[in-house]
Amino acid sequence: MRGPNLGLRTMLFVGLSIAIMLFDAQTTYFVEVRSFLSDVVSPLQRVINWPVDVIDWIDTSVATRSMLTRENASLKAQQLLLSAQLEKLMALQKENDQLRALLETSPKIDSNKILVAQVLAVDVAPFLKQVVIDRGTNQGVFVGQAVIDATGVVGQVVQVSNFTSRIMLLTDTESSIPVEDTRNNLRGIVNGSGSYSELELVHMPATSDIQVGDKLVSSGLGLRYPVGYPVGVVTDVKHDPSQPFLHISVEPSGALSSTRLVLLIWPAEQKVITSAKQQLTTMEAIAKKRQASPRSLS
Amino acid sequence: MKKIITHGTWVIVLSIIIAVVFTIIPLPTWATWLRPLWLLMVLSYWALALENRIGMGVIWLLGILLDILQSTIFGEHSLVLCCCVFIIIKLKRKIRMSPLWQQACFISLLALFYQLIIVIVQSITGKPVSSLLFWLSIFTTGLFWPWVFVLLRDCRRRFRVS
Repeated sequence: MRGPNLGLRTMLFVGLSIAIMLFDAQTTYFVEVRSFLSDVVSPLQRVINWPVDVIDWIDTSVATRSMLTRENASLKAQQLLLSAQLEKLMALQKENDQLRALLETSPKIDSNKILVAQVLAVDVAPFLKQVVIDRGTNQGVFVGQAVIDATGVVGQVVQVSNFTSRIMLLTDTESSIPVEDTRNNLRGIVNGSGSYSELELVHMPATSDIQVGDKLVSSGLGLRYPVGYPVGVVTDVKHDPSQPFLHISVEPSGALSSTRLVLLIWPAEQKVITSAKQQLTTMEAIAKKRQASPRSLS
Repeated sequence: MKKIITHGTWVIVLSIIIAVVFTIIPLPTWATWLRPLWLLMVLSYWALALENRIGMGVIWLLGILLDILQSTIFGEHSLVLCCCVFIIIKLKRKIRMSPLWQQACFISLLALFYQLIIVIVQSITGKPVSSLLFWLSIFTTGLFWPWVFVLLRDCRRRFRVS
């Protein structure tokens, strides 16, 4: 009955799909549309997240007295440890500020504001390493914002709507983060590999001093991620003589695939830019000095 | 002109909602690559059983919904869903006649076609699929088809969906 019609209609909608894909890929007009439609589907995501919340709630409400006492004791111990460390840190911070004042460089940048967000229990396409969180532009979340958790960097915000936003995890194939080795301050870039628990430190020359167990922290050079948060630990270093670079595997520090609570950071933007400029000029000055010195010797 | 009497639309709507929910419901890490293509299966069933009930426009909109939920480029899932439903309707006589296991094989092939287009579009847009585990969903879709088929057929008869 609708035989000849069917082919025509399919052609129409296939054409429409291709047109819309081209449009979405080439222009940024659909960013707004996607943001709006994300708000439309956010109730669905919340409903799906709801059973997980209920399970969490049941888990806490049926906990026995002894379990709670034990948890309380361990939390108290942890709190004591952390406050002791914090005191030490504050002393160090003061000393650091004084030393920096002596060196006449700008103080280290701290972020102004932090917001806790819950990761909604919904999955996206398995080939994209993304999660959805329950905070959006209503709370001031913006694209490119850095996201951390208790143990390390998690990723960055890639799409926002009013009530939810999407975070690209460090493991996503499109993710890159500038890092620094804590042992020898060697700088590099860590890329996502697309698998759940592996990152890659790329473009390190075969002679560079990277060892298994080295801790990598964010260097803040891209002006996107804050300085000094743990990114990962080197788990494997392979050297293939036919390749110019080392093949280095890194295990992420943040609990990327299992995290439930994350922290959104607001950078002190103006301060970041000025400090970056300052660092660049000092580095240029040092480079010029180095260039000049051999000539003066000869 | 003959008036078409429809009945039991809510069953179709509910089955589609459940399929969408199953598509984004969280799975443990080891199972994320095994998730069957629920929406493809449900739409295939309704296309087989009552080809005219779900229009291409609705299928196209469902594709857009998947694109938002899965955070892929707009039109990607619309394209594959429209193509797959077209194929199902074109071959529906042969598929209906064949036993369940052959249907399952056919749906697996359809899932292969679906994933192939997804892989191609992802490569073109610069976010290539990185893992070969991606293809595992073809087999799980085939495995789940007989159950989905029987369940939806019983629902259709019980609630007299037409």
